[in-house]
Amino acid sequence: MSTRNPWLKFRRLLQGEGRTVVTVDTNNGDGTSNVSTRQGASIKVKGESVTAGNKAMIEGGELRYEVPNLSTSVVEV
Amino acid sequence: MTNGAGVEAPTLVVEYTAPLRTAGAAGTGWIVPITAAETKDAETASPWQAASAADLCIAARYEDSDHKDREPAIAWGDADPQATHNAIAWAFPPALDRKRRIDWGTAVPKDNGDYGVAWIMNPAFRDKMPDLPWYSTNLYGAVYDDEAARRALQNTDSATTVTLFGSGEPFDVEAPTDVLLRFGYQVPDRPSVPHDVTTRITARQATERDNRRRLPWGDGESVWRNYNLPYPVEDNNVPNPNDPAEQPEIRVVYLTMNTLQIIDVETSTPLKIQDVRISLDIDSLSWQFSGTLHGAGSLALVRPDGAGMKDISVTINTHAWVFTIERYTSDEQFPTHKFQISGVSRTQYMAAPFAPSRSYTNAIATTAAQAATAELQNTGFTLSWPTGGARDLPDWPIPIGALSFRDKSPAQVVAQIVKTAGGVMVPTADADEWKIQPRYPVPPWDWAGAAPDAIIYIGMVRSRSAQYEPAPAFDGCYVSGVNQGVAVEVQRQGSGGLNPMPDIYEELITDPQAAIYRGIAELSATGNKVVETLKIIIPELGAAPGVIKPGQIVQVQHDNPAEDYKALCLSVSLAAKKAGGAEVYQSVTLERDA
Repeated sequence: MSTRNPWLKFRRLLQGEGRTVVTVDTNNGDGTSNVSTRQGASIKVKGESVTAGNKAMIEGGELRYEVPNLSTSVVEV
Repeated sequence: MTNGAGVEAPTLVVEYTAPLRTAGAAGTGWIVPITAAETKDAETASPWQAASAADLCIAARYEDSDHKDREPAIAWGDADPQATHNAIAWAFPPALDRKRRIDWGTAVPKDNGDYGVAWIMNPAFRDKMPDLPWYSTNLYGAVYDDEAARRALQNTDSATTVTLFGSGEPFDVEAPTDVLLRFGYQVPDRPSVPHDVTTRITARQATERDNRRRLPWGDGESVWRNYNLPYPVEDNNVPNPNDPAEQPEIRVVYLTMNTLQIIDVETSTPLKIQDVRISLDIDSLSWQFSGTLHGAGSLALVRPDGAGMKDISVTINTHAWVFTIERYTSDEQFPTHKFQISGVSRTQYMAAPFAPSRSYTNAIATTAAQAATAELQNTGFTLSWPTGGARDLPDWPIPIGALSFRDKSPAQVVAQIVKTAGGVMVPTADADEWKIQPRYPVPPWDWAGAAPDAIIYIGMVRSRSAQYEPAPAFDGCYVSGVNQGVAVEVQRQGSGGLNPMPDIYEELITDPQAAIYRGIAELSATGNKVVETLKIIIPELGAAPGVIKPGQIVQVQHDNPAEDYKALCLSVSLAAKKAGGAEVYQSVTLERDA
C-alpha cells in the first residue's frame, strides 16, 4: 500500500511479525508448543497457555491467548 | 615421679615384713608396702602479699557549695486584703416553698383491706339485650317497602274476631265509646338490608352529542402500510458520486489569473501571507498549512495565545480552507520582519491533546456508522458517511462488547472503525467534517470501466515525476475477527487465492461486509505500483478539475485516448508563491498500476 504519510512509512519499517491465529497441536512441556498455521505449516512457538486442539493468537512469535473458532467463508471479488 | 624429660625415675622400694598378730587369729603376714611420702603441699606460701591501703588518700575534690538560697526575701510586700469588706449582696432567699400547703388530705388507703380485689369481677351484663329487634344484615336482600306492605294489609279484607276481656269476664259493649280501637302497623323484626347493593349497572353508553359537528379536515390517510412517505423530505444535496466528472476545458494555452485571499476568521482582517503551502495525504486526518507572514501586527492576529489558537481562512481560486495556526517562528534579519507560521485544519481538534481521551466498551449492539458518529456527538464536528452507494463504505453491525478501547481520542476511535473496513477519513477543507469513504472507491481491476471523480487534461500538467514501487501481487486475503465476528477469505475472481497475503485480524470484523471491503482494500494495494506526481494548474473560478482530493479516482486525459489512464489520488499539495500573485499549482500524487 503506497502512502505519502511519513508516520505510516516509519511504522511500516518497525512492523514486526504481525499476528496470526493458529491451532495448537501439542504443548511440549518446556515452555513451547507445536502449532499449525492456517495454511498447514507446523511451527514451534513460545508459550503453553493454550491447550492442544484450541485456536490461539500468536503475537510477536509468542502464543498469547485462546481465540474462538470463527465461521469462515470465501468471497470472490 | 617424672623428670623433666618425662622418663620414669627409679624408685627405691623397701619392704618390711612384720608379723601382725591378732588375738585368736592365725599368724597371717600382711605385707604393707611403704613408700617414701611425697611432698604435696610444701609450698604453702600465699603468692599474695598484704594489700596496700590505696584508698586512704582519697580526698574530696569539692568544697562545700555556697548557700545561695539563704535570702528568702520576697520582692513583693504583703498583699493588701482587698476583699475584706465585701459583703454578700444577696441575702438568703426566703423559703418560699415552706408556705406551700398540700391541698389534698392524706390519702386514704382503700385497697389494703386484706389486699382483696375491691371490685366485683362479675359485673352485670349491661349490654346484654337478648331480645334484639334486629338481625344480621341481609346483604343481598331486597329493600323492604313497609308502606306497600301496610297498604296491602289495609286493602285486604279479612274477618277478625276481637275478644274483649275485662276483669276476667267477657265485656259487654254498651256504648260505642266504651271501646277505642286503634289500628296500626307493626314493623316486623327483620334483618337490615343495605340500600346501595344493586346488581344492575346504571352507567350506559354516553349519548352522542357532537355527532353533528363536521371535522374541518378530510379523512385521514393510513400511512401504516404506505411506503411512500406522505410528507416531503429535503433534497439530497450530496452529489451522486457516480455522476461523470466534469470535463476540463481543453486549451492549447491556459491563461490563469490566480487569486489568493487569506483572512483572519475572527476579525476578517486580510493577512499578507506569502509562500503558502497546503497539503493533505490520504492517511492524514487534517490538512496542513504553512506560510510566511509579514508584520508583527499580522502575527498578533493569528498567533496562539491564552484564548487558544486562531483560525485563518484561505481561499485559492474559490476553493476555501480554514486552518488553525499552531506555531510560528520569526526571522529578524534586517530589513525583513517575517514569520513562518504553520497550522492544521480544524479536524485536528478531535485528536489528542485537544480532545479528551476516554475508555469505552459498547454495552448495546450498534453499527459502525452509529458508533463513529457517537464519538463526535456534541463536539460540533460531523461525519459524512454515506453508506448506500456502490462507492461508499458500507455500514455494518457491531455486537455487544466488540467495540472496546482504552484512552483513545475521538479521531483515533473513528479511524479504528473506518480502517477496519478499509476506509479512510478525508477531512473537509472548510468545514468541521470528515468524509468517510473506502480507500479505493473502485478497486484497480475495475478502473477501466469506472467513472472518474476528476479528469486532468495532460495539457494542464506543468511537470511530472514518477516512482516505481514494486510489491508482491497477492490474490487472496484472509480477514477475520478475533474474539467474535466472522472470517472471510477474500479472493480475486478466478484466482483461487493461491497466493494469499498475510492474514488480517481485527476486533471489529464482525460482519462479512466489513471483511469483504477490507479485503478489497488490501488486495487493491498489492502489486507493483507507479506513484506519479503531476504538477498541474488550479483553474480559476472553480472550473474543473478544481483541487484534486485524496481518495478520488482521477483520469489523466491525453489527446490520444489510448494513453488515458486512471489512478487513485494519494496526496495533494498546493503552493502559492505570493499573495494575489502569479504562481499557484497543485501537486497531485497518483497511484496507478504499473
